Amino acid sequence: MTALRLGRPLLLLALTLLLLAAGEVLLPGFIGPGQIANQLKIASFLGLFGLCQTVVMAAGGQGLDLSVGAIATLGGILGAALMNGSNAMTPIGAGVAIGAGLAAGCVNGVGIAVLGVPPLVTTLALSSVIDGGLIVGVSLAHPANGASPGLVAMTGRSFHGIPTVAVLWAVIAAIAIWLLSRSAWGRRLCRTGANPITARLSGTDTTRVRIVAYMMSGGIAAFGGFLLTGYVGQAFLGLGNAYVLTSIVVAAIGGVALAGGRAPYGGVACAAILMTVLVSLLTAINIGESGRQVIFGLTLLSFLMLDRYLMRARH
Amino acid sequence: MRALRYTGILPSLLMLVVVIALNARLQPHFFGLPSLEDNIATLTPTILVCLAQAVIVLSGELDLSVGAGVSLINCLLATVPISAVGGPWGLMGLALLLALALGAINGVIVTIFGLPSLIATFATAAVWFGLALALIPQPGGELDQSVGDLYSGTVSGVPVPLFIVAGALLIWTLLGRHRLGRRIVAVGSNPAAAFQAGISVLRVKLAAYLVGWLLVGLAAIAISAQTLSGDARVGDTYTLTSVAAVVIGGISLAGGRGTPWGALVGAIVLGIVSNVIYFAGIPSIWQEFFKGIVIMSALGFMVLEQKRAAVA
Amino acid sequence: MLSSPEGLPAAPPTDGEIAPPLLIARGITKHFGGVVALAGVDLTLRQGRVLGLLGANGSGKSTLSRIIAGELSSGGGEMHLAGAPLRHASPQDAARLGIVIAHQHPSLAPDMPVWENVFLGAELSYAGGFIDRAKARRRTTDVLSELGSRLDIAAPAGTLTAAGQQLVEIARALARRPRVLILDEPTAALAAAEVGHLFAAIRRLTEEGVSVIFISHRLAEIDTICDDILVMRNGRTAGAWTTSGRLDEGRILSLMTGDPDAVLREMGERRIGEPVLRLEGLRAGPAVRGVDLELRRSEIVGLAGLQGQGQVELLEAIAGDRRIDGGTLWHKDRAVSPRRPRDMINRGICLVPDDRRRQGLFSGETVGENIGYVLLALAPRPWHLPAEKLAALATRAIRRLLIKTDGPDQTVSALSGGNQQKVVIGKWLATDVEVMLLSDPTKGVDVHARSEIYAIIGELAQAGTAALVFASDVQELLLHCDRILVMYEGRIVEELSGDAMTEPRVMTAAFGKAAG
Repeated sequence: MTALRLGRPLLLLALTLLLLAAGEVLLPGFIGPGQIANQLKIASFLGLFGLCQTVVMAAGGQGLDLSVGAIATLGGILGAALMNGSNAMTPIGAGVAIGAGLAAGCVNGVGIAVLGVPPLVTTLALSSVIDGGLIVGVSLAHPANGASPGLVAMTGRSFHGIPTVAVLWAVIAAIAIWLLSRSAWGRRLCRTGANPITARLSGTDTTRVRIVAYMMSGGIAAFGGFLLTGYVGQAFLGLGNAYVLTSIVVAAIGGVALAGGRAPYGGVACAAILMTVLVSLLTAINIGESGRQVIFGLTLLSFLMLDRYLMRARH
Repeated sequence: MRALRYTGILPSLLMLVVVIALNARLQPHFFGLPSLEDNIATLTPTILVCLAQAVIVLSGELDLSVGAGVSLINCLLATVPISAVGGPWGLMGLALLLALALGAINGVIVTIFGLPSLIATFATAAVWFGLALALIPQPGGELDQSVGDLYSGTVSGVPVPLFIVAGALLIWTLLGRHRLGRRIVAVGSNPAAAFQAGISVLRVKLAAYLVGWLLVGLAAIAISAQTLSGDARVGDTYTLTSVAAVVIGGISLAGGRGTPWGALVGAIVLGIVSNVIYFAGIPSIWQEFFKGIVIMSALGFMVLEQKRAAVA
Repeated sequence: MLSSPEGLPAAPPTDGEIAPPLLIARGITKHFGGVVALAGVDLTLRQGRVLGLLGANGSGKSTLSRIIAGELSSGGGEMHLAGAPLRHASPQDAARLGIVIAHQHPSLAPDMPVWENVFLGAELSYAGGFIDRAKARRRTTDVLSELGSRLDIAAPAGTLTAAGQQLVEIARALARRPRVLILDEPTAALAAAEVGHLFAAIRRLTEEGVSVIFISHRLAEIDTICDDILVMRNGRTAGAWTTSGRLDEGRILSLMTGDPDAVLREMGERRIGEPVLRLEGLRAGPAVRGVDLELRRSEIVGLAGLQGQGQVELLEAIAGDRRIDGGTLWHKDRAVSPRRPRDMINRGICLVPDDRRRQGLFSGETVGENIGYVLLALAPRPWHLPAEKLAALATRAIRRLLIKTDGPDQTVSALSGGNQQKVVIGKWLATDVEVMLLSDPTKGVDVHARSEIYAIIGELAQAGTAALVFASDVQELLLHCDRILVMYEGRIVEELSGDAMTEPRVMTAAFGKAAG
């Protein structure tokens, strides 16, 4: 068990190193310090969105959050509107963004855990409502969309060569790993995913656990969108769209099973780094969007098969 | 009537009546032949993809790559010169062959390799999309006009799209009376029971994917004939529409429960909702939002209705 | 009550020529993970005869019959059908050879109508695979009427009662016109009249040369219908013979248990205290239709009845896992209306559920994780993981409940059925259990572990816990309970205690005939 838990991150890191080495051979300078820092920044965002999927997939019941993109956009646009370019208002913008994300996640959670609508359908429906609502809001209110200088600095700058946003991610990751694997709540989450009936009959309020999981996903997604506003400089419609697919990919590659019950965020974090490096290598050697998509899909399939093989080998 | 009660399609029918009534009020001459024909031609691909999703869902699986599959087939049709395959019929044969191949790949991954269909077809969707993009990087390309002519033509007075939908429904009806169709439902309803009854669960699920993708192939042909060009994103919306239509049509995502007629109803409801929103004169910026709200309410209504039926 | 062979054709002659063996199994073994289900069974089934397969819960009867029916592969040994080696790999192969099974727990497609379930996998079709619906409906009606049933053949199977589903399961087997018919506890959910019809059908089949393996716990039924007897114990053949005249019940029981004295163990002295739980007209869904009962401290009360009379649902309703539609649930002096199991667990009312793999365990996790989970679920500080407390609890539970395991880090699915059940009970040592609800706790458990489980229940009761036990085996309840309540169609129809607690009285009430 322990070997398995450590094996995944090690495998992913080894693959990452391999890709970096290959990149350096093909394109000298690929692993310069500036490059690495830049990739860490990109990986931080992917890692945050991967955390959303980790939590909801661990909660089981075919858990999945297809609304992370829309919620991220919501967080970004709300945050930008509130901070209105001023540093002083930035924390308030962040707070409101996270609050909106929690509320959206709560809607998901209630739909899924109380009404019993499949997660795929619930999160998709909510995402179309949020996307539609944002079109209306932006068209009618024309809110400010620029990030405050402070936020831009925080998400863009590096501190002694380490990007601040990566430090922030590391802190969040550490908390997440501790919460998911070293707390009673983490156990409740995973056991709810592994066998909701047993969990419920053993005294877990599985409904509440699932609602909280989707709220966490929403909150983190909105915060991710807020940070993204700083990274790209402004909020816009469709800001978070790209992360819907990729967040699920990194969660699956990181070892989270759709069947629920496992929340190895360490693996997911490594998968976020691996996928970021993979994309940048593919871009660097002029493989276009089409090739990247194919390689993405095949990588995901290979890891799913690896998981399947490991599961069969254990039984 | 009793058969209807057992299938749980009544609430979906109720919804259908409501949207059609609304549409008929809002759209001038809704029941007139030109607008009816127009509506059917637009709806045909949606209906076909929804029926495809329905057969796969009934077998207890899911396919999130139908949209990307439609795009890939469309891009292939826009790339292959029509002379190379001997006319429009050859082109269509090629499309169906590719569709079957894609269905077979998904089916094998889900049955023989045993990967969860939701995430595995999510992965193949990325592959299909990538391949489509490789064929047609920018929307464009050109299909021969003869394909379009075939689609917009009539067969003894009946418009071809209506003919295709009728054909698909006929296949469905036959399937419902065929061993295979009933085994698909049995496998979705209780795979262990089906296995113990001597049914090969894997083979039946594989067959469901093949039947489903045959319909996806037809949908891709219909879309290509309408647009007469290739676009790697043309199928994007179909995946989610098909899942929503299946749920609105009263088919359980857990498999085994529901009827293909439900998927037809769901597809028409979703298709007409856009129509209603358009003709209701809602400002364009509100349309997406209203559509989202309507879909969300419809889904909620269906789920609550099913819960109520389960308790009673 | 059941033995009414009047008007039934006599069994084929047993003297003179002995019918040739049709199916022979030798040294069949089977393991599930670390659990030995079959340790080398021999079985001989003769042409046109009914073989009664007997054995305690967990002795391997169902496993053996599923192997013969091709649903499970055997771990070793060999089988011959009509002289030829039998190497079937699936139920399909078995059906092709004429071997068909009706399961104890019906395995139906709940969304499909009765008639389709009957012919599922063996559809009556025209050329090209199109289903001949009219013929299938007609034949379904025929087979069901042979069994004396007038079920609505268009109703989805999931809407039928337990008895109805059992009849569909049997009808499905009969409709396949088998050579070898295996009936795994077909009568557990059936009423007396239905059993009579089933026996008549079996007699007709054997006259046509069909061989039947008949599994039942009810000796009276075995006596009525069986020509040969095979008794299993702990995955082995304990004895096999041809019945001649009266059934030797003593011999069967001693072979089944191995040691008849071990079953009759003394329960410690208990002082039954004040009431802790009281139900007044409790209703929950269609299964529980108005139940009154009272449970006192240190009392062990048995719930008996045929399968599917609402016993499981009643326990689930009390445990807060099923919505209560009416009546009152009193815990001590307080009327409670639980919305989730947690509400009752906080009051010390705990459920050992019906299906331990699905409802009681996290099969992929360790013994320690399983035992400690209740503590985590109830932990007031969810961000904290009380590691030492968990370890201590696991060690204590393993020692106190005599769980046979390599240690708390062993995966729970590697344990035997009985030890898995002890883990499910052990979970509740984390709380103060006032009322323990047990739903068929010895299902699939060997004899030894069974008495250990009742010993644990006895110990808990001595310490003041009240226990409400549903068991499918009446003998168990008679041995271990202070009182027995018999359920029929969602109500308690009989309460027996002291000398009135006898198997005939329980069975009479179980068939819905209150003793006045």
